[in-house]
Amino acid sequence: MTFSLKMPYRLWRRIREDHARRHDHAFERVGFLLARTAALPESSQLILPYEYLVVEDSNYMQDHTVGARINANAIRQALQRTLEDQASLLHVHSHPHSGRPAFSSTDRKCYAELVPSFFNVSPAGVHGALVLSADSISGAMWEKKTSSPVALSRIDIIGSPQLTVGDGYESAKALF
Amino acid sequence: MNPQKRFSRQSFLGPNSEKILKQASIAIVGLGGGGSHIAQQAAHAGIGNLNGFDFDMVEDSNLNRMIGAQADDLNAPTLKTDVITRMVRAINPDCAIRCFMGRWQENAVYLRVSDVIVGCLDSYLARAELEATARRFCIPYVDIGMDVHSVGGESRISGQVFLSLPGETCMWCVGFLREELMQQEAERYGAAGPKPQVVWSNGVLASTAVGLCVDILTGFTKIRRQCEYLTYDGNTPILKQHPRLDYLSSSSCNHYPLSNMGDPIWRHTKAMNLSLT
Repeated sequence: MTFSLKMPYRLWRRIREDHARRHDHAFERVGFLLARTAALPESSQLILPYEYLVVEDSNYMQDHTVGARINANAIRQALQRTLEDQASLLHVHSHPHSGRPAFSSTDRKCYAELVPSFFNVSPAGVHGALVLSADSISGAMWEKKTSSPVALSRIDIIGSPQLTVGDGYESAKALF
Repeated sequence: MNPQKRFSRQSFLGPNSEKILKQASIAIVGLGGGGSHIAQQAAHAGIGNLNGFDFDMVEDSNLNRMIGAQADDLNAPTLKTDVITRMVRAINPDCAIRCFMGRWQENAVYLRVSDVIVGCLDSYLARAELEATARRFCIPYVDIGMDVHSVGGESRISGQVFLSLPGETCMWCVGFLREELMQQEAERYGAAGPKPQVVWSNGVLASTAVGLCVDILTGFTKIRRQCEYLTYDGNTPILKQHPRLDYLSSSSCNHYPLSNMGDPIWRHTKAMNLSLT
Protein backbone atom coordinates (compact mmCIF):
# COMPACT_ATOMS: atom_id res chain seq x y z
CA MET A 1 0.00 0.00 0.00
CA THR A 2 1.18 3.53 -0.72
CA PHE A 3 0.37 6.59 1.36
CA SER A 4 -0.01 10.25 0.56
CA LEU A 5 -1.02 13.10 2.85
CA LYS A 6 -2.94 16.35 2.46
CA MET A 7 -3.03 18.95 5.18
CA PRO A 8 -4.82 22.32 5.15
CA TYR A 9 -2.45 25.25 5.27
CA ARG A 10 -4.16 26.51 8.43
CA LEU A 11 -3.13 23.34 10.26
CA TRP A 12 0.42 23.50 8.92
CA ARG A 13 0.66 27.06 10.22
CA ARG A 14 -0.64 25.91 13.62
CA ILE A 15 2.14 23.32 13.86
CA ARG A 16 4.79 25.79 12.80
CA GLU A 17 3.62 28.36 15.35
CA ASP A 18 3.79 25.81 18.16
CA HIS A 19 7.19 24.49 17.12
CA ALA A 20 8.59 28.02 16.96
CA ARG A 21 7.86 28.62 20.66
CA ARG A 22 10.82 28.35 22.99
CA HIS A 23 10.75 25.90 25.85
CA ASP A 24 12.47 26.33 29.21
CA HIS A 25 14.66 23.25 28.87
CA ALA A 26 13.75 21.33 25.69
CA PHE A 27 15.65 22.31 22.57
CA GLU A 28 12.65 21.73 20.33
CA ARG A 29 8.92 21.08 20.51
CA VAL A 30 6.94 18.10 19.35
CA GLY A 31 3.27 17.40 18.92
CA PHE A 32 0.70 15.01 17.57
CA LEU A 33 -1.76 15.11 14.72
CA LEU A 34 -5.10 13.38 14.62
CA ALA A 35 -5.97 12.28 11.11
CA ARG A 36 -8.66 10.71 9.02
CA THR A 37 -8.04 8.49 6.01
CA ALA A 38 -9.56 8.05 2.57
CA ALA A 39 -9.17 5.34 -0.01
CA LEU A 40 -7.64 6.27 -3.33
CA PRO A 41 -7.44 4.26 -6.54
CA GLU A 42 -4.79 1.56 -6.94
CA SER A 43 -4.58 0.51 -3.27
CA SER A 44 -3.42 3.87 -2.09
CA GLN A 45 -4.50 5.67 1.05
CA LEU A 46 -4.80 9.37 1.70
CA ILE A 47 -3.95 10.63 5.19
CA LEU A 48 -5.88 13.75 6.24
CA PRO A 49 -4.63 15.39 9.45
CA TYR A 50 -7.35 17.51 11.03
CA GLU A 51 -6.23 18.54 14.50
CA TYR A 52 -2.91 19.34 16.09
CA LEU A 53 -2.44 18.27 19.73
CA VAL A 54 -0.06 20.52 21.62
CA VAL A 55 2.22 18.90 24.19
CA GLU A 56 2.01 20.99 27.34
CA ASP A 57 5.25 22.49 28.63
CA SER A 58 5.04 20.46 31.83
CA ASN A 59 5.12 17.22 29.84
CA TYR A 60 8.62 17.79 28.49
CA MET A 61 11.33 15.91 30.41
CA GLN A 62 14.82 17.15 31.16
CA ASP A 63 17.10 15.32 28.74
CA HIS A 64 19.92 17.18 27.07
CA THR A 65 20.92 14.20 24.93
CA VAL A 66 17.97 14.73 22.61
CA GLY A 67 16.06 17.68 21.17
CA ALA A 68 12.94 16.88 23.13
CA ARG A 69 11.68 14.06 25.32
CA ILE A 70 8.07 13.92 26.41
CA ASN A 71 6.63 11.92 29.28
CA ALA A 72 4.09 9.13 29.34
CA ASN A 73 1.34 11.59 30.26
CA ALA A 74 1.71 13.41 26.95
CA ILE A 75 1.57 10.17 25.02
CA ARG A 76 -1.40 8.97 27.04
CA GLN A 77 -3.34 12.15 26.30
CA ALA A 78 -2.70 11.76 22.59
CA LEU A 79 -3.73 8.11 22.69
CA GLN A 80 -6.91 9.02 24.56
CA ARG A 81 -7.93 11.44 21.83
CA THR A 82 -7.08 8.84 19.21
CA LEU A 83 -9.37 6.36 20.91
CA GLU A 84 -12.20 8.85 21.36
CA ASP A 85 -12.03 10.09 17.78
CA GLN A 86 -11.36 6.70 16.18
CA ALA A 87 -8.58 8.50 14.40
CA SER A 88 -5.13 7.88 13.04
CA LEU A 89 -2.30 9.42 15.05
CA LEU A 90 0.93 10.95 13.81
CA HIS A 91 3.84 12.24 15.88
CA VAL A 92 5.27 15.46 14.46
CA HIS A 93 8.44 17.42 15.13
CA SER A 94 10.66 19.88 13.28
CA HIS A 95 14.27 20.07 12.16
CA PRO A 96 15.90 23.50 12.14
CA HIS A 97 16.99 23.72 8.50
CA SER A 98 15.63 24.34 5.02
CA GLY A 99 15.10 21.71 2.39
CA ARG A 100 13.62 18.25 2.51
CA PRO A 101 13.97 16.84 6.04
CA ALA A 102 14.67 13.21 6.93
CA PHE A 103 14.27 11.20 10.10
CA SER A 104 17.49 11.09 12.11
CA SER A 105 18.82 7.85 13.56
CA THR A 106 17.43 8.98 16.94
CA ASP A 107 14.04 9.60 15.33
CA ARG A 108 13.99 6.17 13.70
CA LYS A 109 14.94 4.43 16.92
CA CYS A 110 12.25 6.30 18.83
CA TYR A 111 9.55 5.71 16.23
CA ALA A 112 10.28 2.00 16.05
CA GLU A 113 8.74 1.73 19.53
CA LEU A 114 6.44 4.75 19.71
CA VAL A 115 4.35 4.44 16.57
CA PRO A 116 3.52 0.72 16.98
CA SER A 117 2.16 1.63 20.43
CA PHE A 118 -0.49 3.79 18.70
CA PHE A 119 -2.05 0.59 17.39
CA ASN A 120 -2.88 -0.45 20.97
CA VAL A 121 -5.75 2.06 21.02
CA SER A 122 -6.58 2.05 17.32
CA PRO A 123 -5.62 -1.31 15.86
CA ALA A 124 -7.68 -0.89 12.70
CA GLY A 125 -6.12 2.43 11.76
CA VAL A 126 -2.84 3.47 10.22
CA HIS A 127 -0.44 5.67 12.17
CA GLY A 128 2.77 7.47 11.49
CA ALA A 129 5.17 10.34 11.97
CA LEU A 130 6.05 13.59 10.26
CA VAL A 131 9.13 15.79 10.36
CA LEU A 132 9.03 19.40 9.21
CA SER A 133 11.79 21.73 8.09
CA ALA A 134 11.56 25.47 7.49
CA ASP A 135 10.05 24.93 4.06
CA SER A 136 9.39 21.23 3.56
CA ILE A 137 8.07 18.07 5.16
CA SER A 138 8.59 14.30 5.15
CA GLY A 139 6.88 11.44 6.83
CA ALA A 140 6.15 7.76 7.06
CA MET A 141 3.19 5.58 7.89
CA TRP A 142 2.86 2.21 9.57
CA GLU A 143 0.10 0.07 8.07
CA LYS A 144 0.07 -2.39 10.98
CA LYS A 145 1.70 -2.69 14.37
CA THR A 146 4.34 -5.03 13.03
CA SER A 147 4.84 -3.28 9.68
CA SER A 148 7.95 -1.49 8.61
CA PRO A 149 7.35 2.21 7.99
CA VAL A 150 6.45 3.27 4.45
CA ALA A 151 7.55 6.72 3.36
CA LEU A 152 4.74 9.06 2.33
CA SER A 153 4.98 9.19 -1.45
CA ARG A 154 3.50 12.65 -1.62
CA ILE A 155 2.60 15.38 0.86
CA ASP A 156 0.49 18.40 -0.02
CA ILE A 157 -0.04 21.45 2.13
CA ILE A 158 -3.32 22.67 0.72
CA GLY A 159 -3.77 26.36 0.24
CA SER A 160 -3.12 29.00 -2.36
CA PRO A 161 -0.36 28.49 -3.20
CA GLN A 162 -0.02 24.81 -2.51
CA LEU A 163 3.16 23.06 -1.37
CA THR A 164 3.76 19.63 -2.85
CA VAL A 165 6.58 17.39 -1.68
CA GLY A 166 7.47 13.98 -3.01
CA ASP A 167 9.96 12.17 -5.20
CA GLY A 168 9.53 13.42 -8.73
CA TYR A 169 7.23 16.26 -7.72
CA GLU A 170 7.91 19.93 -8.17
CA SER A 171 6.26 22.65 -6.16
CA ALA A 172 6.07 26.37 -5.81
CA LYS A 173 7.96 27.32 -2.70
CA ALA A 174 6.72 30.90 -2.55
CA LEU A 175 5.35 31.91 0.82
CA PHE A 176 6.37 28.73 2.66
CA MET B 1 5.98 21.29 -32.55
CA ASN B 2 8.96 22.33 -30.47
CA PRO B 3 8.20 21.18 -26.91
CA GLN B 4 10.75 23.56 -25.45
CA LYS B 5 9.06 26.57 -26.99
CA ARG B 6 5.51 25.54 -26.33
CA PHE B 7 5.29 27.12 -22.88
CA SER B 8 8.08 29.68 -23.30
CA ARG B 9 5.61 32.57 -23.13
CA GLN B 10 4.46 31.56 -19.67
CA SER B 11 7.88 31.06 -18.12
CA PHE B 12 7.11 34.02 -15.84
CA LEU B 13 4.96 31.57 -13.83
CA GLY B 14 8.17 30.27 -12.25
CA PRO B 15 11.31 28.30 -13.07
CA ASN B 16 9.65 24.91 -12.55
CA SER B 17 6.12 25.94 -13.45
CA GLU B 18 6.00 23.82 -16.57
CA LYS B 19 6.68 20.66 -14.58
CA ILE B 20 4.28 21.72 -11.82
CA LEU B 21 1.45 22.19 -14.30
CA LYS B 22 2.28 18.98 -16.12
CA GLN B 23 2.11 16.94 -12.91
CA ALA B 24 -1.13 18.62 -11.81
CA SER B 25 -4.57 17.07 -11.99
CA ILE B 26 -7.71 19.16 -12.37
CA ALA B 27 -11.25 17.79 -12.23
CA ILE B 28 -13.91 19.66 -14.19
CA VAL B 29 -17.47 18.86 -13.19
CA GLY B 30 -19.86 20.02 -15.89
CA LEU B 31 -18.48 20.24 -19.41
CA GLY B 32 -20.95 22.68 -20.93
CA GLY B 33 -20.66 26.43 -21.31
CA GLY B 34 -18.27 27.02 -18.41
CA GLY B 35 -16.50 23.70 -18.18
CA SER B 36 -15.59 23.59 -21.88
CA HIS B 37 -13.71 26.89 -21.50
CA ILE B 38 -11.91 25.49 -18.44
CA ALA B 39 -10.86 22.36 -20.32
CA GLN B 40 -9.63 24.34 -23.32
CA GLN B 41 -7.58 26.77 -21.28
CA ALA B 42 -6.21 24.13 -18.93
CA ALA B 43 -4.99 22.15 -21.95
CA HIS B 44 -3.38 25.23 -23.47
CA ALA B 45 -1.72 26.13 -20.16
CA GLY B 46 -0.11 22.70 -19.90
CA ILE B 47 -2.16 21.02 -17.17
CA GLY B 48 -1.03 17.42 -17.47
CA ASN B 49 -4.09 15.60 -16.16
CA LEU B 50 -7.73 16.49 -16.70
CA ASN B 51 -10.69 14.49 -15.42
CA GLY B 52 -14.02 15.63 -16.87
CA PHE B 53 -17.51 14.71 -15.70
CA ASP B 54 -20.78 15.22 -17.58
CA PHE B 55 -23.80 13.07 -18.38
CA ASP B 56 -25.19 15.11 -21.24
CA MET B 57 -25.31 15.02 -25.03
CA VAL B 58 -24.61 17.98 -27.30
CA GLU B 59 -27.77 19.77 -28.39
CA ASP B 60 -28.51 22.64 -30.76
CA SER B 61 -28.79 25.10 -27.89
CA ASN B 62 -25.26 24.25 -26.72
CA LEU B 63 -23.59 25.52 -29.88
CA ASN B 64 -23.88 29.17 -28.82
CA ARG B 65 -21.38 28.59 -26.02
CA MET B 66 -19.84 25.14 -25.69
CA ILE B 67 -16.18 25.43 -26.67
CA GLY B 68 -15.14 22.56 -28.91
CA ALA B 69 -18.67 21.67 -30.00
CA GLN B 70 -19.21 21.76 -33.75
CA ALA B 71 -22.25 21.72 -36.02
CA ASP B 72 -21.33 18.20 -37.16
CA ASP B 73 -21.78 16.97 -33.58
CA LEU B 74 -25.52 17.27 -34.10
CA ASN B 75 -25.53 14.81 -37.01
CA ALA B 76 -25.33 11.90 -34.57
CA PRO B 77 -25.72 11.65 -30.78
CA THR B 78 -22.49 13.10 -29.40
CA LEU B 79 -21.50 13.12 -25.77
CA LYS B 80 -20.11 16.28 -24.26
CA THR B 81 -17.35 14.15 -22.78
CA ASP B 82 -16.35 13.08 -26.30
CA VAL B 83 -16.27 16.69 -27.50
CA ILE B 84 -14.00 17.72 -24.66
CA THR B 85 -11.73 14.72 -25.11
CA ARG B 86 -11.39 15.49 -28.80
CA MET B 87 -10.67 19.15 -28.17
CA VAL B 88 -8.09 18.63 -25.43
CA ARG B 89 -6.18 15.99 -27.39
CA ALA B 90 -6.04 18.31 -30.38
CA ILE B 91 -4.69 21.18 -28.27
CA ASN B 92 -2.23 19.21 -26.17
CA PRO B 93 -1.60 15.54 -26.97
CA ASP B 94 0.54 15.30 -23.81
CA CYS B 95 -2.45 16.03 -21.58
CA ALA B 96 -3.90 12.88 -20.03
CA ILE B 97 -7.61 13.57 -20.45
CA ARG B 98 -10.09 11.17 -18.91
CA CYS B 99 -13.80 11.88 -19.13
CA PHE B 100 -16.59 10.13 -17.29
CA MET B 101 -20.04 10.05 -18.85
CA GLY B 102 -22.58 10.07 -16.07
CA ARG B 103 -23.12 11.69 -12.72
CA TRP B 104 -19.85 12.61 -11.06
CA GLN B 105 -21.01 10.89 -7.89
CA GLU B 106 -20.76 7.57 -9.72
CA ASN B 107 -17.04 8.14 -10.31
CA ALA B 108 -16.29 10.25 -7.25
CA VAL B 109 -13.14 8.31 -6.42
CA TYR B 110 -11.45 10.02 -9.37
CA LEU B 111 -12.16 13.40 -7.85
CA ARG B 112 -10.10 12.43 -4.82
CA VAL B 113 -6.86 12.41 -6.79
CA SER B 114 -7.37 15.96 -8.04
CA ASP B 115 -5.27 18.95 -7.09
CA VAL B 116 -8.19 21.26 -7.83
CA ILE B 117 -11.87 20.63 -8.51
CA VAL B 118 -13.66 23.13 -10.74
CA GLY B 119 -17.45 23.15 -10.58
CA CYS B 120 -19.40 24.42 -13.57
CA LEU B 121 -22.87 23.41 -12.46
CA ASP B 122 -26.29 24.99 -12.72
CA SER B 123 -27.81 24.39 -9.31
CA TYR B 124 -27.10 25.38 -5.73
CA LEU B 125 -27.75 21.85 -4.57
CA ALA B 126 -25.13 20.49 -6.97
CA ARG B 127 -22.63 23.14 -5.86
CA ALA B 128 -23.20 22.34 -2.22
CA GLU B 129 -22.60 18.67 -2.79
CA LEU B 130 -19.46 19.28 -4.79
CA GLU B 131 -18.01 21.73 -2.28
CA ALA B 132 -18.73 19.24 0.50
CA THR B 133 -16.89 16.53 -1.41
CA ALA B 134 -13.92 18.79 -2.05
CA ARG B 135 -13.76 19.67 1.66
CA ARG B 136 -14.04 16.03 2.67
CA PHE B 137 -10.92 15.15 0.68
CA CYS B 138 -9.02 18.38 1.33
CA ILE B 139 -9.09 19.68 -2.22
CA PRO B 140 -9.38 23.32 -3.33
CA TYR B 141 -12.70 23.96 -5.06
CA VAL B 142 -13.31 26.67 -7.65
CA ASP B 143 -16.91 27.38 -8.56
CA ILE B 144 -18.15 29.41 -11.50
CA GLY B 145 -21.61 30.26 -12.72
CA MET B 146 -23.58 32.88 -14.57
CA ASP B 147 -27.19 33.90 -14.88
CA VAL B 148 -29.30 36.52 -16.61
CA HIS B 149 -31.90 38.45 -14.63
CA SER B 150 -34.59 40.79 -15.75
CA VAL B 151 -34.30 44.06 -13.83
CA GLY B 152 -36.79 46.75 -14.73
CA GLY B 153 -37.32 45.15 -18.09
CA GLU B 154 -33.58 45.11 -18.78
CA SER B 155 -31.50 41.93 -19.07
CA ARG B 156 -28.57 41.93 -16.70
CA ILE B 157 -25.80 39.34 -16.87
CA SER B 158 -24.32 38.30 -13.55
CA GLY B 159 -21.92 35.66 -12.39
CA GLN B 160 -19.46 34.56 -9.75
CA VAL B 161 -16.12 32.88 -9.20
CA PHE B 162 -15.53 31.34 -5.79
CA LEU B 163 -12.35 29.77 -4.43
CA SER B 164 -13.11 27.47 -1.50
CA LEU B 165 -10.06 26.19 0.42
CA PRO B 166 -10.11 23.51 3.13
CA GLY B 167 -10.40 25.11 6.54
CA GLU B 168 -11.16 28.54 5.13
CA THR B 169 -14.28 30.51 4.15
CA CYS B 170 -16.78 28.42 2.24
CA MET B 171 -19.77 29.27 0.07
CA TRP B 172 -22.05 28.89 3.10
CA CYS B 173 -19.93 31.32 5.12
CA VAL B 174 -20.60 34.15 2.67
CA GLY B 175 -24.26 33.30 2.14
CA PHE B 176 -23.86 32.28 -1.48
CA LEU B 177 -25.30 28.93 -0.44
CA ARG B 178 -28.34 29.15 1.85
CA GLU B 179 -30.94 26.65 2.94
CA GLU B 180 -33.79 28.74 1.50
CA LEU B 181 -32.15 28.67 -1.93
CA MET B 182 -31.90 24.88 -1.77
CA GLN B 183 -35.53 24.72 -0.70
CA GLN B 184 -36.69 26.94 -3.56
CA GLU B 185 -34.63 24.95 -6.01
CA ALA B 186 -36.04 21.66 -4.79
CA GLU B 187 -39.58 23.01 -5.09
CA ARG B 188 -38.93 24.21 -8.63
CA TYR B 189 -37.20 20.97 -9.67
CA GLY B 190 -38.10 20.06 -13.24
CA ALA B 191 -39.94 23.34 -13.80
CA ALA B 192 -36.93 25.66 -13.85
CA GLY B 193 -36.32 25.43 -17.58
CA PRO B 194 -33.02 26.12 -19.35
CA LYS B 195 -30.93 28.96 -17.92
CA PRO B 196 -29.80 31.75 -20.24
CA GLN B 197 -26.10 31.49 -21.06
CA VAL B 198 -23.67 33.32 -23.36
CA VAL B 199 -20.14 32.42 -24.42
CA TRP B 200 -18.37 35.63 -23.49
CA SER B 201 -19.53 35.76 -19.89
CA ASN B 202 -18.70 32.11 -19.43
CA GLY B 203 -15.30 32.92 -20.88
CA VAL B 204 -14.61 35.70 -18.38
CA LEU B 205 -15.53 33.53 -15.45
CA ALA B 206 -13.74 30.43 -16.72
CA SER B 207 -10.57 32.37 -17.53
CA THR B 208 -10.54 33.81 -14.02
CA ALA B 209 -11.01 30.34 -12.59
CA VAL B 210 -8.13 28.93 -14.63
CA GLY B 211 -5.93 31.78 -13.45
CA LEU B 212 -6.77 30.89 -9.83
CA CYS B 213 -5.99 27.22 -10.51
CA VAL B 214 -2.61 28.09 -12.01
CA ASP B 215 -1.86 30.36 -9.07
CA ILE B 216 -2.75 27.63 -6.57
CA LEU B 217 -0.30 25.33 -8.33
CA THR B 218 2.54 27.73 -9.14
CA GLY B 219 2.13 30.59 -6.66
CA PHE B 220 3.17 32.99 -9.40
CA THR B 221 1.32 35.97 -7.93
CA LYS B 222 2.94 35.37 -4.51
CA ILE B 223 -0.45 36.18 -2.97
CA ARG B 224 -1.47 34.03 0.00
CA ARG B 225 -5.21 33.50 -0.54
CA GLN B 226 -7.68 32.24 2.02
CA CYS B 227 -10.72 32.70 -0.20
CA GLU B 228 -11.81 34.44 -3.34
CA TYR B 229 -15.37 35.51 -3.99
CA LEU B 230 -15.64 37.52 -7.17
CA THR B 231 -18.87 38.91 -8.50
CA TYR B 232 -19.34 39.66 -12.18
CA ASP B 233 -21.59 42.28 -13.73
CA GLY B 234 -21.70 41.30 -17.38
CA ASN B 235 -23.35 44.52 -18.46
CA THR B 236 -20.79 47.08 -17.20
CA PRO B 237 -18.64 44.73 -17.42
CA ILE B 238 -16.89 44.56 -14.07
CA LEU B 239 -15.43 41.65 -12.13
CA LYS B 240 -14.64 42.54 -8.53
CA GLN B 241 -14.43 41.15 -5.03
CA HIS B 242 -17.84 40.59 -3.51
CA PRO B 243 -18.50 43.08 -0.68
CA ARG B 244 -19.69 40.28 1.62
CA LEU B 245 -16.06 39.31 2.23
CA ASP B 246 -15.53 42.62 4.00
CA TYR B 247 -18.13 41.67 6.60
CA LEU B 248 -16.75 38.29 7.57
CA SER B 249 -15.56 38.28 11.19
CA SER B 250 -13.21 35.37 10.59
CA SER B 251 -11.76 33.48 7.65
CA SER B 252 -12.14 30.10 9.34
CA CYS B 253 -15.12 27.93 8.45
CA ASN B 254 -17.58 26.33 10.86
CA HIS B 255 -19.57 24.55 8.17
CA TYR B 256 -16.96 21.97 7.29
CA PRO B 257 -15.07 20.87 10.42
CA LEU B 258 -11.71 19.40 9.48
CA SER B 259 -12.60 16.37 11.60
CA ASN B 260 -15.22 15.48 8.97
CA MET B 261 -12.56 14.87 6.34
CA GLY B 262 -11.93 11.41 4.98
CA ASP B 263 -14.06 8.40 4.29
CA PRO B 264 -17.24 8.38 6.38
CA ILE B 265 -17.01 6.37 9.59
CA TRP B 266 -19.70 5.04 11.88
CA ARG B 267 -19.50 6.36 15.41
CA HIS B 268 -21.39 5.28 18.49
CA THR B 269 -22.96 8.28 20.17
CA LYS B 270 -23.60 8.54 23.88
CA ALA B 271 -27.15 7.38 23.29
CA MET B 272 -25.71 4.30 21.59
CA ASN B 273 -27.27 5.32 18.31
CA LEU B 274 -25.07 5.06 15.27
CA SER B 275 -24.29 8.29 13.47
CA LEU B 276 -22.34 8.88 10.29
CA THR B 277 -19.67 11.57 10.18
